[in-house]
Amino acid sequence: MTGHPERSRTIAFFRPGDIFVGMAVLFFALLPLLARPGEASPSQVEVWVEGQLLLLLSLDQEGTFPVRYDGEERMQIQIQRGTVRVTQSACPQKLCMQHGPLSHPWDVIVCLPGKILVRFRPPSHPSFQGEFDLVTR
Amino acid sequence: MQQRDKNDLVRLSRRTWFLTYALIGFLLVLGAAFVFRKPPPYEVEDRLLLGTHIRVAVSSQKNPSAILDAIWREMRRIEAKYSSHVSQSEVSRINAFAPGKAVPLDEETLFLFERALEWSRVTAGAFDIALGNLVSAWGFDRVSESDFSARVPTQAELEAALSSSGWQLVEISGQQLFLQGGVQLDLGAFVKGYAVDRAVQVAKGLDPECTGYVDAGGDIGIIGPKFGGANWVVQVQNPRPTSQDFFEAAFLNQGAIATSGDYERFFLVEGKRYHHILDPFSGYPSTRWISVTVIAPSALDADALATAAFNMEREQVMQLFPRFGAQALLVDSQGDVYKTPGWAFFSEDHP
Repeated sequence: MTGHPERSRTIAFFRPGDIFVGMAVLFFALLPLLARPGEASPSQVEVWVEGQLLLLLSLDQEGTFPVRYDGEERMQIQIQRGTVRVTQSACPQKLCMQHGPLSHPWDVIVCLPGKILVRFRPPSHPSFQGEFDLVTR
Repeated sequence: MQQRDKNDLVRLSRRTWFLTYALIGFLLVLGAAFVFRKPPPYEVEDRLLLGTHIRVAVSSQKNPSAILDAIWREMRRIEAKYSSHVSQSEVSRINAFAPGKAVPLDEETLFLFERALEWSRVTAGAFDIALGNLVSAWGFDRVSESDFSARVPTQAELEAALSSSGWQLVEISGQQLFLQGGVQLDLGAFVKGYAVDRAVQVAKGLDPECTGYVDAGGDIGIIGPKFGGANWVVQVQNPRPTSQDFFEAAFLNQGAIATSGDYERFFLVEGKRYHHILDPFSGYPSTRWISVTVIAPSALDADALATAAFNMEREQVMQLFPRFGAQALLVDSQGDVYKTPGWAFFSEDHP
């Protein structure tokens, strides 16, 4: 008349508060996994001139953009299909044009005479699965 | 009534045990969460300093922005103090002294020159900071591409430059430096390595637990392992990139790596390449190797040894470098690659 004895014993053993404690333990066990950083791909490109952030462009914004500073055009960059490259430069050796497009999320195009840096934002770096982090040259 | 009390006692006892286990489990999970906690993200900043592109990545539980600021301050200080292209720099001041006159040095400069001269002695002059006149004769002392006017000097110009070049013309006595015979100092890449080392020291001084790296145009100093435990994967640039830009990876979680190559600064005359790493004996650009990469405990040493190796035979490098905890990778003009035996350790991703 008092029901199944084993079931009664189980219910008595696990009170609602106990289940709460168990859930809390499970939650904290999974928390570090949930909080693991993801692999964000860059969505914007930054152009720095003489230490100043001059341009911030979306990679969706296709086209050619002049980089003007101190009243002179120092270079032109092109955004096309999610890649960025320098198409024109006022410097003599034009090494920045030879660099080609930014090839990795942490790649950077440098023009020393023009004091210009072109890089993705954020430079999502380093990567957990990236094939490499740095280049010695 | 008595029976019910007994059941309650049993139930309470089991419940206590359960809560004890739950508490232990919770503490274990908390410990695991601490050990495997999410590493703080890397703050990555780029600057153009010391005539090159510098990237610093720092991860710290404290204040990474403050660490980055301190690093840039220190690097700007070193640039202002030691760059040959800064008219008020220590190097410019020393070079302006009359030959044979005593030049007083501060502690830091004394350390740098003693270290440089030590490498000159150890490498029998293959590394030499007293080639300022030779570097000028070739025009490699120009600071930027827009001011780059390198040319092949005449034989008479070369001989004149060689006669007033060489580490034997530099003498340190106490805390004074003496330059003989009109010799001019050119710290060049040596300062870059020093700046990298100082940047690493500054970062560790502010937060010993911080990790990251300092990359000054390919001279790389490791602040600490990636995410606190992994190796940084450093690719060595292929000196003659055709199908692949890189040909070797090095795995580092401490120390430094630096490369010298004949492709960094050069000019072509009638198809012949003249690059900026000069042979202190012939006065011409070194031709033994087209690229040298060195892994060493510090960027200063990696820099000096990478330059020295350009003027050294393979056997000399293989014997000498490991004695100083350094490993080298040499590439000759045929594309043949030679490595010190210890390089193999850095070719694998040790946990």
